[in-house]
Amino acid sequence: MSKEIELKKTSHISEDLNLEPIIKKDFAWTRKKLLSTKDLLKEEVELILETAKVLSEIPTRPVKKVPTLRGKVVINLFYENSTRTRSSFELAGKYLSADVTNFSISTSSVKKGETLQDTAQTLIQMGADAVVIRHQDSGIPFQLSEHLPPHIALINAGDGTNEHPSQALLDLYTMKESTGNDEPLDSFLKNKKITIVGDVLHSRVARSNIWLLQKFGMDISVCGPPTLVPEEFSKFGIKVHWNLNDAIKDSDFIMVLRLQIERQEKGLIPSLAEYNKLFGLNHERIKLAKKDVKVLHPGPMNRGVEISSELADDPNYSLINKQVSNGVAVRMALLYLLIFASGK
Amino acid sequence: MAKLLIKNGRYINPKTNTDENLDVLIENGKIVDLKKEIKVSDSTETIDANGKWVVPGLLDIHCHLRDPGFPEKETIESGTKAAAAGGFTSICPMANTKPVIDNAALIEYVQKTNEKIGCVNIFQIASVSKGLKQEELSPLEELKSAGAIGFSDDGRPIENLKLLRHALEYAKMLDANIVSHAEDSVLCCGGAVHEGFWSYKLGIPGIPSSSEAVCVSREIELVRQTKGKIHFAHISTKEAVKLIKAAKQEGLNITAEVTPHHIVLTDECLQDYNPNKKMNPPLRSEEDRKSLIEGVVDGTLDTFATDHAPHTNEEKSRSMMEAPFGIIGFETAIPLYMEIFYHSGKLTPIEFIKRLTTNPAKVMGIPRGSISIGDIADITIIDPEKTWKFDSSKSFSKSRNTPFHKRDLKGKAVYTIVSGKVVYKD
Repeated sequence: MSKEIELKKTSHISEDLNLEPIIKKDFAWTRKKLLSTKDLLKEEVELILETAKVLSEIPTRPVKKVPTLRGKVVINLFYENSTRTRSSFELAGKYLSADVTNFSISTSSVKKGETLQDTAQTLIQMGADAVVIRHQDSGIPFQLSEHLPPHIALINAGDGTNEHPSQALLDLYTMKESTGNDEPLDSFLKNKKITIVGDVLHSRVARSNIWLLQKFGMDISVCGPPTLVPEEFSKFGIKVHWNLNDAIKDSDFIMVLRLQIERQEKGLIPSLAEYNKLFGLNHERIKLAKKDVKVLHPGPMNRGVEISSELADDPNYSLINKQVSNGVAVRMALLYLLIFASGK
Repeated sequence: MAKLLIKNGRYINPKTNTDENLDVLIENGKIVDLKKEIKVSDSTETIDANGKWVVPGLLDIHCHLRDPGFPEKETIESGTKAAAAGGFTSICPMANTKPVIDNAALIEYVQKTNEKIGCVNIFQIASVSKGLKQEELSPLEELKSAGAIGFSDDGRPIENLKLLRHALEYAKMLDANIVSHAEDSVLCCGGAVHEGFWSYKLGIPGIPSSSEAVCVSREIELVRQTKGKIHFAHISTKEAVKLIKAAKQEGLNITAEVTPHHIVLTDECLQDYNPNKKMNPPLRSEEDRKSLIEGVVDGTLDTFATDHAPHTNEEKSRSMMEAPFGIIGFETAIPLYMEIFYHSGKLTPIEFIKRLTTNPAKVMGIPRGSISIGDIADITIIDPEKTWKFDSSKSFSKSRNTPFHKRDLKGKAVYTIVSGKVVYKD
């Protein structure tokens, strides 16, 4: 059954949502799990972004709710503290009328012997339609997916230092929106350059963005000290820079990563002041990039460390607030697409 | 004891450099005759080994039986059964049990338990330091007299180099080996897989090659100074192979082993985040794998071991970070080594078997590894062409942690004979 017919038969789409042009596309969405951006098809990315665009209007209404996911259960399974991502998924589900509940599992109970199989059983028995998982260790969403039946949608909301695919998708959505460009992603990103600055080695945001943006031929540079940006990253077909001034030349976008303070404690950088001196982005430095360069940051920011307060708050450059609102829209699109997917 | 005749087999005994079709007659646990077409009475128990290799019982000088202390993972009973099913007649379990095997009473416990419920020979390795604490030396002479075959703090490196120096000096007096788990515990700290392309790609904290090379290097210096003996366990990197090769050329008392997984797999297979592929040292790069194979062929790496390391399903269903290191290895070792070295034509049968018998016997000083007339009848009969799949759910081990579940394999032990007694039959 094609997606088109399937969705028409269901009454999940509220009358006032204009999803028709999107679901009529030739491409049939079947994906139930979003664990990585590595295996996403270009068509899937286009569809996520288009769906998000339609849904993005919902939170701007006086009554911020449509019945699309009424009767569906979304479980936020968070092993690692997170306020932003969890709230973003929670609101995304609620705007679409899903019942959203939060499981916050402390690491200690896991160490006491709560296995992933047991957790998976709990989720199944509670009738989850979608599970959003965040874990401090890389790969856990892949391991959990082995224990979940195919009808349950699964979204990786950040696993260790591996991936954070919904963040990369919202970043891409935000980049595209900021230019007002209406072309397909291939032509939009073809001659565009992004520089990702900071702790790339430990960044799931950087990884998901690299794998995603690479698909569309974007020119990608990463920049930071060699302890946080190993030379070997060039094997992924991206450029590695240890000098920020060189790296940001001709950039259309600069993505600044959050510097975890513990990197200094672990001896990967000598001091936050030195990091700021070498890799902190500010108005002075950004002049070296393209004139209309835009700045992204996944948040939360360390103002005065990786980015100056003035730049972060400068609407001429900063897309940071837009990333937050777009995050909800992209996550609404993901929940919608994954929950109603056939899973074939 | 009754007689046992093994006939029509291809008799391979590296010790005497023999590889020909000979019958083997066993009586009272020893080999009593060895020639073409031995005639016996009809009532004599006979094994037809046509098309099979009849070789000295295989030796595994590196494994973990978890006994005493961790019966949920393995016991002497289950572990020796798994070893027998893999064709091993003698094994050297490591001392990192609970309590640590650092006194004669515990050696006696292992031996007595094995006599009662075990089915292969155990030549126990005792700890170098008391309680593996790396503060004081274990009573090495007492342990040796009680039956310890060598000493190791395996599971972790000896960071206290002064202690290691003294252990090397003292063990010289006992003509015993120190088995080294070579890694720098600071450099490897926090890592779960080999640091390189795949660890960066998969976002899993890495263990750099240098953590092994740095440790091998400093321990070679101690061997040079003390003139002691070190056997390097589970070598995994090309850098370490190079260092060991040079040290051997210099004539230092150094030997080394490989494991099946480092020879067969690389870090590329980690893409499914399966903790059954997590071991220490980690699966390295293809370049490392090739270098290990070369090292085995040119003799830099002396022996094939298994590093059989059982862990429970619960432990191995944790994350790549939280799951313990190690995989089970007895039952899959022969076919995996055969795949790389025999079926590929890299080693002749005699050279292949040498690395599982004569070489490990020599390295650890184990009075086994040969099947001439008069020798104890520890014999393994291998069907080199048998194709099969390993089903971990049917393993004799108590644990299931293997990346080789359902893998197509070629070559298998079909009889394992200890002191003339068949302890495993396929």
